Amino acid sequence: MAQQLLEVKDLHTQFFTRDGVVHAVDGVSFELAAGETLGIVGESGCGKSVTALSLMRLIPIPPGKIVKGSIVFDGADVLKMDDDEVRGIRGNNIAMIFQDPMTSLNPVLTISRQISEALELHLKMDKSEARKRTIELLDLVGIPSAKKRVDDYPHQFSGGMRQRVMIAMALSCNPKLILADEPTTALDVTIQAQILDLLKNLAREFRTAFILITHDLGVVAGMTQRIHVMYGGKIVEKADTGELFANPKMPYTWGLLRSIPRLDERRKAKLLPIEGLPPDLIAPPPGCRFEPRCQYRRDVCREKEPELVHIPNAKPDHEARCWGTQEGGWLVDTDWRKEVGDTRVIEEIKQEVAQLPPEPKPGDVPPSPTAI
Amino acid sequence: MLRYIIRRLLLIIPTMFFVALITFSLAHLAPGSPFDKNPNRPMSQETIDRISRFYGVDQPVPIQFITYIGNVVRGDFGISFTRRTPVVDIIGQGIGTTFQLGLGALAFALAFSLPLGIISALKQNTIVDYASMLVATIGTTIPGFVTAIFLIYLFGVTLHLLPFVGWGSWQHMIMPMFVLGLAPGAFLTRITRASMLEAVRQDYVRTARSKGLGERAVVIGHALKNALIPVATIIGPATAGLITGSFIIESLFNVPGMGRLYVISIVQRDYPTIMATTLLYAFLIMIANLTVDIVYGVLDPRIKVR
Repeated sequence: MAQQLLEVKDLHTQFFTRDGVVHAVDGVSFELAAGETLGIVGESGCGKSVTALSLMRLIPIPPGKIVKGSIVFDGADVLKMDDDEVRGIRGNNIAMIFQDPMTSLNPVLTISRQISEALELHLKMDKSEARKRTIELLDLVGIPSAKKRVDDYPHQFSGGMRQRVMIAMALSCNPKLILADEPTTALDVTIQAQILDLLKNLAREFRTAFILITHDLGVVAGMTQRIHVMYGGKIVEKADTGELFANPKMPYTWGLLRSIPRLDERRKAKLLPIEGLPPDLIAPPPGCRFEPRCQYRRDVCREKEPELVHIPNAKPDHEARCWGTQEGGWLVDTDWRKEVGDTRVIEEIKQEVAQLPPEPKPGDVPPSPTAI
Repeated sequence: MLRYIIRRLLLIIPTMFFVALITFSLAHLAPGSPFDKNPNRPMSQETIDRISRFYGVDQPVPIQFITYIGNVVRGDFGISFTRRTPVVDIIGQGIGTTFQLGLGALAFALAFSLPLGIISALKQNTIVDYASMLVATIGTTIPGFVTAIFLIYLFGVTLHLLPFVGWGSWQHMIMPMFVLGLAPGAFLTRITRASMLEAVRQDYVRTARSKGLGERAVVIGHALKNALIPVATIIGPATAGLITGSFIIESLFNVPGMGRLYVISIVQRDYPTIMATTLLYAFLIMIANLTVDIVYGVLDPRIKVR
């Protein structure tokens, strides 16, 4: 295998809270080649953002801690670096675009200051060079009359424009990797498409690898070469983007796909939600993490956790974490579009959820379906 | 900006009018008069009537008020009933001292509260944090006059380190400034800590870290300016409080400032002095608030002054 840009191995990130240890990222491994694009998809609280933050060591300590694993970026393990070395990578080699452009920019500093800062720090530019470069970057991300707007404050920009500023900031030092954590979630649908296009085109132009993190399979569809689906702190399916949409091999992915509206479906066709709640990451289910919500479950799913392995009837680099679709499983030949699984199980899950006590107040910890 | 300041300055005029109206009414509603019968200085009824007529206090209160306002507009604040000198001169003697005391106390309060608040926020839940919060709690809960008496006893009476009567040398200023600045400073420490804690948890601080900035640049360059916005809001009333709230401290340390003058004038029903000091205090508070609003606009670009 060629030298990878990023190799994450067995990453465990945990949060030590009053209620217990939250296993937010629980043994995640993946690789990324230079210039490659990867989508990480999963619902809220599945550990995808924590994975991204771990890559830059931006997890707040305490309560968080990366307890195990290695993150080899460009030949060096990020987790073994001292603070200065990590700071040398942040913004310089790995840059991040955050979810909410409304709160991710400092309201009391000008745009020029916020972009120039990284340029002065990493590229050792002086003030006027950095300013010139900032204007170029703003031009590049499509801010009209960048020269006039460079001294404006964030509140003078719209949401979409602010996310463009964030992209300019991320690109400023020509990083090898951009982590985009739900970059369009806070934006209007029309703006979403523009921002995604911009990100894709610029990444291609600068040959920057990027990881796009989203809960929306529709967003990654046209954006990335590969997709990893995450559930309950683990990667449950890895495949090329086309392969994943054409031939998904994990009931959770099926559920995600069923819940996306399709233009080519009949008008009246109902979207099918995934019943139940995401797993409690303080006390995760002993077997497959998705078992409590899975309509295709069998006893083995509850007893033993499946490994992420290659799947029959699929492309060679397609892997899934499911007893049913593995070699000799009962779902190998199942067509997910036609067979929705055991409807009695769906009813059971619905009832279990109805019996749960009311949701605890929202916090970092996802609501715990301990009753299941 | 200039238009805003001019408008705010003009607004002071009607506010001052109502302050004058209310103070005047309250002062005259309170029982007693400046020329009450005093067993030490017996006066005949005839004399009292003559003095009252001379100072105009025999007139109905509304007429007195109108006369007073008329005089004030012409710059005449009257003559003190008890000292027989123009009120303006009496205040002029005390105001410098009060300002020295108030600004000194403010400087002291800011000098310890901002660093202490920032440090305890950054070292949250450590011994440093607990220690500074203990100091802050003690500072807010123990009244100034108790601290003052304790300090007078300790440093003045027992150790003979500091003078505690009068004003003049820097040694005289230490204790009054300390006592006066302690409570607002302790309060500011808590506010600074709280707003700094809030600020360092914001998304933009994470963004700043993601750029690779050092911890100093993140805290000072990104978090602090945001954290100071709520602090600035408190500094305004605190400043006004320091200048106006000094009368207990001035009385305790026998500082010849306006606060002491104010208290004495109320006891003696010296209407012109009461009025003039109240109006001056009101004016100072309004100027302090205006200053804070201007500083606010400088700190936070989202606030548009109109």
